Amino acid sequence: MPYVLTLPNALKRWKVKILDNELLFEEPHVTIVFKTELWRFGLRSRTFLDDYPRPDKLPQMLMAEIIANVATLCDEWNKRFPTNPVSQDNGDKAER
Amino acid sequence: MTPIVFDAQTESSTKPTVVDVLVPRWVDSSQQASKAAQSEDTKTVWIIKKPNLADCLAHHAAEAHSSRKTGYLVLLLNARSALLPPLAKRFRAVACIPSALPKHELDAVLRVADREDRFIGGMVDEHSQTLTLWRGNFHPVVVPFEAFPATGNGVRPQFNRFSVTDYGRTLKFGEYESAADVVLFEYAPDFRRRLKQTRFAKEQSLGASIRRLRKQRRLTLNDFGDVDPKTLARIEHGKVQRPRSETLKQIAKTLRVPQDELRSY
Repeated sequence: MPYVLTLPNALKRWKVKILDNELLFEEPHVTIVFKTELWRFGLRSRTFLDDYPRPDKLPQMLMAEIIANVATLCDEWNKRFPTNPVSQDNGDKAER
Repeated sequence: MTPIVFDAQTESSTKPTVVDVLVPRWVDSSQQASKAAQSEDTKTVWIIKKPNLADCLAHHAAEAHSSRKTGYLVLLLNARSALLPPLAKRFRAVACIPSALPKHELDAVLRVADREDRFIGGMVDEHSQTLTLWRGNFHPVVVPFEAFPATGNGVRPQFNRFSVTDYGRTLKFGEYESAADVVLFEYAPDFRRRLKQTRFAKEQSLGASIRRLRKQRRLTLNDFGDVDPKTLARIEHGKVQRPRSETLKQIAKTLRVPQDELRSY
């Protein structure tokens, strides 16, 4: 079951979630959906993984919600993807 | 805490190149079915929900004498196999997708530039344990159920509850949701090539490809049988110029891809 961040009413058309199946060689991230557009926000680097669509289209209120809940989002990612946890730089440290 | 940076990590865009806008038209009557069969507009997507209208369209398509193919056809139903030859004769592609995007999302996806990176719907076959998905560019992708592994916290996909959501960017199996990118990366070579040129532009080596696949398969360096974990790590980090053929063969076998395609990941 994806983790879906509960957002205030003003942001009810936005979705912020951690899916159950992702590309695991990329940085752990949260998926942000609004209508036809989708952003991926990295939980390690706290930067956007793609330059399209433009990150500055996101409302500041939404980013504030994500940052306020980033610890929960990291926990939820780690539960789903223990082989690529947020805490590791590249997911390979344990194997070196 | 690390500061928030609003700039993207890469300069290159992952924006796909498809620019043709398609025009969806819903077929709600036998007159419209006849019109669809006679149409010469290659940019129209005809969408049918009712089985009797699909029959009607197939009849008109069989009657049509034009050798040119017209637009695309979406059947939002479990079509009989006998319907497909007459429809395929007339339309550029026929997507049979009993599980599709909601109407307003389907209409929107067919009009967006990056529709090739989205799924408009699909069909589950429990017998063969496969899922046939249709991209917005009307290319089908056939995927085994194994492409959707259980999560670390034990959530498994329910294939009998398949649907597509988030304007084609998420595949939903009951309570389980998968990013469309995962399927496209594994099963759509054109998408993978584009990703290598953009998102992975700085990591083009064979070793980087092996590492990506290993991560995606949730394997550790110790899971490759006779291949020494240290050797594999050296290959992944580009410290082995020419890996032995036998080593690559074992790596490809463990990763379940043909050896000559390793580099494409």
